[in-house]
Amino acid sequence: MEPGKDIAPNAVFELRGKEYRVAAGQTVRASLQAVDLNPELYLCVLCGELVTDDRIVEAGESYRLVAVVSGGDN
Amino acid sequence: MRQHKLALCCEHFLQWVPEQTERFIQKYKMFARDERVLLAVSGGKDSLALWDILLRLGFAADGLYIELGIDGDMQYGQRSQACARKFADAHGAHLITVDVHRKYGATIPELAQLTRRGKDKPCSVCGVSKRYIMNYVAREGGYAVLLTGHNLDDEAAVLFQNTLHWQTGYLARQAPVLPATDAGFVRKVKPLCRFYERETAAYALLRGIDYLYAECPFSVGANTIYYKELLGRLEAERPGSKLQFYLSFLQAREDGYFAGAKDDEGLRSCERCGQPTTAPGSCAFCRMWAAVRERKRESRGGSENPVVTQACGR
Repeated sequence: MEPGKDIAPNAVFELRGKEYRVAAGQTVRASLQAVDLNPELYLCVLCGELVTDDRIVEAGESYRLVAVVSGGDN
Repeated sequence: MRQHKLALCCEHFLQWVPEQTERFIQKYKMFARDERVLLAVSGGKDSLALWDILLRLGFAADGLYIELGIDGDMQYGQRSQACARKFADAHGAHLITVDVHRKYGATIPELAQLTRRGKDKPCSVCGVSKRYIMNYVAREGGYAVLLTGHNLDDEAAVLFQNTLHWQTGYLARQAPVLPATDAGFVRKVKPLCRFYERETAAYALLRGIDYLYAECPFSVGANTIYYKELLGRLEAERPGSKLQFYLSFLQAREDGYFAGAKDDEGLRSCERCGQPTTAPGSCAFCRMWAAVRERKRESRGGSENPVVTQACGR
């Protein structure tokens, strides 16, 4: 699924100001994979609460993604 | 946590992380309760999560924040320091701050521009500076041990990089504990080395720790981040791969497959600052600042910056 592509019913994942629209009814993990995001590299927050990646995404939900990767070449 | 085939609720996850940390501290004989410990704090999730865990476990850990002078049009340094300061104040913990520009006369971005080592690679001069300052402060402050917030993803990425290049010397020195040396290196330990980065981030979020989400502006395109993403792909397909990779390495290391030089072998004192070094004469940090002095002298037509001149003096 392309980022921003409109499908219904859907939910939104937001990462660094960019929105990804995903179909409702699948897990958070499957939703991230559907928009080519590796679930291992992000945490999902819904209404300020951390959610696990087996949660079923519901229509109208808006998730915030937190990238977990950090580091440099030192 | 697919690698452990374990699912925990918030309450039990927040108990599990400190319990596991204490287990690793004991398993790898990192430090004892009566030892003075100094934790390098960046304002990021790992170091602040570790500080929180240590305080909850009853370790009176002091923090060390190094102000690097990195702005990157996002006030990176100021925001990092604010997170570290806020945590310290909220927990009544002692935070030592070293401002690289104030103490040595140039910021890390300036240092990168003025040195051959830092040309196009500010992470290199940053790493040399941080390692030097961390050891210096720990040693001068009488701390028995220096802690960093390196997690399993950090360790696996470095291991992957060193394996790709068969850097056997680096492989021999990668461990949860690097012992103190007679030459002057303080013991260094990594209590979070068996936690995935997702777990330390989850811990920080669930604890409500206000950490800096933004990454260092110089880390864009860094090799370790690339390797982390590669390993992340492997992990997504094969849960537990990263953990297995790292633990198998530690076992192989323990079995003697990476016999490196003895800890003190080839170490001597830097002729300028007295800190340990493998180089004859001056250590990398002092050589770096000597080059900066030279460049500044050239650009000023002979007059030295007095602050930079004192950089290595003790």
